[in-house]
Amino acid sequence: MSLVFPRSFPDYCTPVSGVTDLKRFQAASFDGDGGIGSVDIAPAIHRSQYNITARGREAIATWRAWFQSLRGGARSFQGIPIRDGRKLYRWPLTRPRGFDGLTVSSAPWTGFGTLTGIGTGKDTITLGDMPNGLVLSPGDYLSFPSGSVNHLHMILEGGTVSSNSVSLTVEPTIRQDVDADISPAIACQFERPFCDMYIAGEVSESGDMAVTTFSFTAYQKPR
Amino acid sequence: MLSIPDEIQTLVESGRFAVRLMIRVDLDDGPQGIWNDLYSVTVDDCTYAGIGGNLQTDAFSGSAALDIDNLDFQISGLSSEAQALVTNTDWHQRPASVFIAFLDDAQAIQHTMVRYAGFLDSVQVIDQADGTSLIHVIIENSNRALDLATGRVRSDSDQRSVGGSTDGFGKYIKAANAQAGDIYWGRKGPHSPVR
Repeated sequence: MSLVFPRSFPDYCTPVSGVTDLKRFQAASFDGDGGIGSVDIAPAIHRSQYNITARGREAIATWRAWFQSLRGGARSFQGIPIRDGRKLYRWPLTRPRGFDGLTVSSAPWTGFGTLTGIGTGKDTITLGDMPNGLVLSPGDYLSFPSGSVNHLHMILEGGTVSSNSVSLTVEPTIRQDVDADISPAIACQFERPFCDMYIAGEVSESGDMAVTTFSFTAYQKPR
Repeated sequence: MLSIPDEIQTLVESGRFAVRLMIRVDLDDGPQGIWNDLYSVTVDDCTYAGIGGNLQTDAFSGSAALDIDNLDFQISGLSSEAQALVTNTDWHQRPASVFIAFLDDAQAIQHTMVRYAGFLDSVQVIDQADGTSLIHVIIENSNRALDLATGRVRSDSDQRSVGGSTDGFGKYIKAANAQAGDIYWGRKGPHSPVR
């Protein structure tokens, strides 16, 4: 068995706390007329602070082994956002136990929709191959591959799927080079969506042989 | 004082805009460009490769006294797009321009304006263990052409541009060859205005 890179985030039964937010790069200044001028000087990226609490020698060793497996200077991996500050994001808010019972064309839904359209403002998208009745809410995430990396977007305005289609407003805006018309169609992932991230700084380890917490900050690798 | 079109001013005042820097170098084989967004874009026949945060510039210094203020910028030494600017090509003293691109909140370019123009003067490739791999580039301000009456510089490529492809700076180094031709430097020379 060989390792697959970039490394996926382990699906171990381990409490993970922290926060995922969107880091914006903006400069502000005071205008002569008393207003505040502000400008965006770089594309926004996701940032996650992960605190992973491993309990027991076996879990601690397994996590250590995963950190060891991050070869290369960037230590990149597929970062999953954190929900509610206390667990890794897994499914949309309205489906806390998964996608059982949802179907598309009488077949069980796999958790992937198809990107069929991008609005002119680049912040609205239309998805196809979605299961009717699925409700997507503000705060849910989706991700899709484009170029050499995976893009992660948060849903700002959700909707209910009907006729196997749904329109959503997302943030950050969809990149200009993402083309909804290309073939094969871009598959959007709704279960454990992720973006490519790298670990900035050190992974700190604190605790003892019973409970050890691994803490690190990761930034999105946007390209 | 920047001169910004009205529609861009409206965008600026609504706060929903972004700026990016675009660096264009006019190499002999055609223009090469990089910019600090994430996707490639073509503006005025030059394709700018998006290298994101792998591009950092120092402050632009403006001067009324025609000082030759250089512009330094650093690009990642591991980025193939950055390497394309300077690897296997005659980059020395080729024209280089820095543009500001104004983007709307859909991240589409609405306007570009030139912010700095000069010539690629120095390229330093720095690699170090436990450090950063970067290419440090210095663009010499085009004000230099105003300081030197002919705009000529003391370089091999400059001499070849005057004396032909078989000419060159090395030809005049040996004393025995010193009579091969006249080297004009600075304000004196046949191209200078008569004083």
